[in-house]
Amino acid sequence: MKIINYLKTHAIELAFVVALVVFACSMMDKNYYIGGDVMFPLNPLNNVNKSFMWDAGSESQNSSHFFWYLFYFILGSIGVPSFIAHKILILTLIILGFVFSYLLFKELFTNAVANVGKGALAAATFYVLNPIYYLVVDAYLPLYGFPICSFLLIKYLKSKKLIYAVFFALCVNFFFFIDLPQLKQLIIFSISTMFLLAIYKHLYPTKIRNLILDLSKAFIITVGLNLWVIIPFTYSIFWGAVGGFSSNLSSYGGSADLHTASIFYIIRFFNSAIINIYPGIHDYLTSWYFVIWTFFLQALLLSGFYFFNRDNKKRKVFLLLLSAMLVLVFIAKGPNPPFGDLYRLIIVNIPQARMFRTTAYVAIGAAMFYSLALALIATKISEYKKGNSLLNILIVIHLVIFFPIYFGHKFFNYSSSNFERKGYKLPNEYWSMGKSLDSIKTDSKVMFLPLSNGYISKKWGYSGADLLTWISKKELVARQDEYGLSIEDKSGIQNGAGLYNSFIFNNTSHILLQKDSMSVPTFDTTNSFTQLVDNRYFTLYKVPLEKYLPKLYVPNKVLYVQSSLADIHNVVDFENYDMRSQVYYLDPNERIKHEIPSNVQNTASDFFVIPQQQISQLSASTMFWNKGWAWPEANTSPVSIKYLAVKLIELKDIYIKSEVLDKVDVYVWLSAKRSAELLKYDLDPSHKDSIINSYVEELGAIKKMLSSIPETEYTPAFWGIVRKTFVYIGKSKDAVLSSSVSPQQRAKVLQSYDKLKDWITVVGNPDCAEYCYKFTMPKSGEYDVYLDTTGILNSVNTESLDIVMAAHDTTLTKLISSENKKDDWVNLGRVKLNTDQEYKYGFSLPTFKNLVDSKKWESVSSNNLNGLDLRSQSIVSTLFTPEKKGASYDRPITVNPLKEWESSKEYKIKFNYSVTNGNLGVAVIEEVPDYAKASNTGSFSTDLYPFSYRNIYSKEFNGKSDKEDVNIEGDATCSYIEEGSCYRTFEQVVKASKDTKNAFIAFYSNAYKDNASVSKIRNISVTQYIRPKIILREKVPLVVTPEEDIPSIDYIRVNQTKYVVKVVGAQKPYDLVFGENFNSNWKIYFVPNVGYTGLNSRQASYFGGKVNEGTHSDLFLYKNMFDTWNLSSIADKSHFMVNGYANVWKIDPKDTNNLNNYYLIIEYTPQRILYFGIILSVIFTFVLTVFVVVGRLRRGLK
Amino acid sequence: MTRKILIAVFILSLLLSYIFPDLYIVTYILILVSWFIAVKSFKVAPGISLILSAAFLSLTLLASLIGIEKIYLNSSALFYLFLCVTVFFYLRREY
Repeated sequence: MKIINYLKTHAIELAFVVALVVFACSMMDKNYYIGGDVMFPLNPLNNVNKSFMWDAGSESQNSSHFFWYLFYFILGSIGVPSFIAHKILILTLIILGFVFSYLLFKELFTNAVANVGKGALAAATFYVLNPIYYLVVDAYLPLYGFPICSFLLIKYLKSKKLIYAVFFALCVNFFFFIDLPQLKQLIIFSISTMFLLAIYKHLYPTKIRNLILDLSKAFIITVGLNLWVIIPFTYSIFWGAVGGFSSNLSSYGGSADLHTASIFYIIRFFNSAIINIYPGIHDYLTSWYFVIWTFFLQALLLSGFYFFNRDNKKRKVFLLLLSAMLVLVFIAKGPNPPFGDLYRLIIVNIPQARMFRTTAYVAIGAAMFYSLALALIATKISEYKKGNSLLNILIVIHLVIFFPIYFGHKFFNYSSSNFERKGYKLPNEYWSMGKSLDSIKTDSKVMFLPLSNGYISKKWGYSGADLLTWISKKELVARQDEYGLSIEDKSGIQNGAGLYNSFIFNNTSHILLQKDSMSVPTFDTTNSFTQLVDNRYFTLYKVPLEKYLPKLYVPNKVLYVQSSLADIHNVVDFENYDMRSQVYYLDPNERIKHEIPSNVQNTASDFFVIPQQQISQLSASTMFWNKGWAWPEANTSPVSIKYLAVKLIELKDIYIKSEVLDKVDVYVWLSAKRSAELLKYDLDPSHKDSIINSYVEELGAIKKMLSSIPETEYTPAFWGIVRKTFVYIGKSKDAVLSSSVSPQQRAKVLQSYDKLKDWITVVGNPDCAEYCYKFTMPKSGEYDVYLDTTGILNSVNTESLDIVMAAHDTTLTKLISSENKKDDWVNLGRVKLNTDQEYKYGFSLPTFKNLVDSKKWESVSSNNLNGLDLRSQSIVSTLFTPEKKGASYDRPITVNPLKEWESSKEYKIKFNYSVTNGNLGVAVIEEVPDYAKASNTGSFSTDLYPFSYRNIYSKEFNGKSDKEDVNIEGDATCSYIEEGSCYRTFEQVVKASKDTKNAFIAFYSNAYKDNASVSKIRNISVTQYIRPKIILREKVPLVVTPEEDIPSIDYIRVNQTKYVVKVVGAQKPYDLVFGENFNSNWKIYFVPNVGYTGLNSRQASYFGGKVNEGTHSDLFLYKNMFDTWNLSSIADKSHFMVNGYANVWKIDPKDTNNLNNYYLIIEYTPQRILYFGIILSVIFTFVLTVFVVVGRLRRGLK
Repeated sequence: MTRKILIAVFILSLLLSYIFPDLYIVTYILILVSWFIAVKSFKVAPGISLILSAAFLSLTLLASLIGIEKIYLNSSALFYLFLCVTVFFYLRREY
């Protein structure tokens, strides 16, 4: 009976316990709840090493997440697997969130509410069982940090006990610093705190002076205890990587959360993206009961105005709670109405505000005030009833409605193909591979293939962060954009281009092929790479010693290369190359700016110039415009009144830009915007005409501005914007034409597009021979000219051929036969080159085979093709006369199979054309093995060619709108005139896809008005295209440092920010190369003696024992951690970048007191700032403890 | 007469905000300005803002149950707008 009574009395509390048990049970599996943006320390004992300020080749702020790592680390060190630790965290956070939102309500309203306990229960229910739970990722700490830190602050203010301020400080660290380097949640928490303090001040009247005094104490304690995070973070903001985060971010025009976070969703604390992301809860969030209940709660919130109308004390509190919620909702809804434009204005114009470019998560703060306000109203209503029945009903209904939370629906995977499973089971092979990588004793890097951009997709369903980087502690090159090898080199290795020589410049000791990835790259194993592990998930290769450089070495030669970073690996192929070289390179395009020693051009023992082939400034390789590539979105209809404001803002955008290139950028953006407007809004003809006129004017303005720039100012940035213009106008023109424009409008657009495009093509394409190189020499002298003949003979399918290379006053010829084609680089001869002029070199290579068979033209479309006879003429003349116009399936199409089309090769499409009416299109279509994988699939060829295909290239040419307007003689772009028709030349290089089987070229035509389209095509050729590479090498006496002048070095890694080098036998100046990413904060110190035991053993030796690796370690706190703090760094002025990424110091005997044997310490100095912060925090903790203890003792004595 | 014009502007702006959602920056300003003038000049009780807010909330719910996106998106924004106005009036009375 007692039990029954107990159950009756505590039924609600017990219901929560049951829900919690159900929640815990919902996670009863051995899966890892990871994927997408969610990751946690999979191997915490290794991952805690990420707490250094240098990690994975760049500055790191991971130390600010130390407490988070520590949680997994502690559980991991007592043997708890990380997937359980993560579930423990999820469960703990739910409990903490519930308990502290309960306590917060109770603490705030103890004296204000009659049944504060029940109200607190309601507040906790509304906060924990809230749609915001779906909005944020699993175990998102700030979500729970809001009630916990708010409670601790209020508790401190009420009790004045410093211990609460201390807990507050620690909780701010644990719950909010996890979001660093983003400050968004900390700022939102600060705003919330302001409102909370206003409420506190109202409920517990206190003098402002006292309140400020108490808050100051809490502030000092929070800052003091967290100095070890705040100091390094502040350093990083002003002098490090974090500073550029906000300003370099794209603002997305302030539209990142447009529509998704509209008030309809965000007022209920989720966004529309959640509905789409989680297939499992889509139905729930759109169900009638969820919608009705959540809006009922909003209505309940409104009722507060009535219920608190006569309650002066609580009315003000209610209004403050509501104000806080509305302010935070205003931020959270971002660009959406009402007044989203205000938000956009701020985001676009204030770089620092860009941390709020995505806003939905801000709703966390609003959810806390919403829960408190709702609970306050509920307790007020229950006061009328003199009982708790209404409150109980509210809580129970809420508990029932939000059942998917404790049934664990969120943990289901969110890909639609995989959503019936929770999380992922990590295969055992991952853990064993982690161990294999950890057991590599050398201080080297492991390169992953395929490279990722931060996310990787696996055949077994996983998609998210790379897993092994969270399992192994080995230095891993997993991302394309970081660590060691240049992106081009990495891609070269990945796509099987054979850039294995790149390994020499790095200290990449192993290659890991991830065979379970969605796309597995081809990795040529014939390159003497030893296979160490092979299973269904991975193959681990060891890089041979002859392609491996240790992290530290003393080079015996200096190579100077003037080339792009992508090309420097070529020097390895040349005679006399010794892997102990160091390579200085200078990119004439200055894509990566770095200093090189002033005299290196004269002292280098080998001197290379690798000119860039002037294929076209419009190729992707010259795509260098770093001021944004976003595509505009049309948000305002041109018929609306607001459009006037849009035009005014556009005018402002144009006039505030002072640089011509920036102005061009604005016009490019605006012309693209016009196309977006035409596509989005169904406009009447007059409005459409006006938009098209604007589009045409904008294209005209672009051409005018670009052509006004003198040739001498054709900088990389100029080519960047030209390239961007080329891409954008192509896309915008297509968009405009697809928006059902009239034939006149179409012609107008095409005419203006062609004018600009033709100008760009003329300016952007080389003006010397087909295979053309333009360059200036950094040093006068005699140079051998080498040509990379790889693949040339195969391409032209002959046994031998003459290569003719024409320079200014020299012609070099060479017969390349199958005999010498084995050499990659064939010496064409020697030329004398000076520094004072620009050189143009051009090759004449034999014409490659035409893949178009003139006898095989076929008609695909079913309608008539009058006068068309493609099968019998070698020079093709096409006359299209369709009866119908417009619809694609009625277009006359001719296709020709391209024989011998090969995967991954490049081909040049070239023909002459004349279009005097309608328009002509050309497309290259590839047959692909798997229809499902084909993109851009069309419909037209399904009858004759029942295969799956994709359109890899398409292009349309326009004719004149009226025959009368044709003025052939006046058209300067005619390549030639034949029978009164102006023929233009079309030329385009396209690359075959990796998995193609066959390809076809197709021509089609659209009529204009009721007249037949008239298109003539001549000289169609599709030929293979190669990009031969040349290298100019100066013949200079080879200067090799004698072996006896090279000191021997032993080195160890103390941790990833500190290396100790023992130097023996240093008598002359020497260079020391350090294979970490170059950073000026790497400093080198001279010490006569050190106490590191790792130097006494040898793990590996190189270059006949001249370089030795000792036993490495990963020490965070250690005895000698301050041994360089009182020393001045040496060789700062001779610290340069070599090998395309690494550090080198030129050590002079003067720097080392003319000693022969000594030690050097290489240190990443910002790590000291972290140590300094830790020391200050420790001192502060000590002072605080003394202060508290003395205070207590004093009070005790009194 | 002025009052009638004001009410007409107010109602017209409300209607326009539904017909041309993209115009919201104009229509919402008109709604707000006309509402503030009405409250100030013609002694409309600030509490009416609350009723308007509740009305738009109901409309939001109705439209979302029926599934008319254009109406529920705009109504929810107007609900929020009038809730802000209500809080503003009440807070002004407090301070």
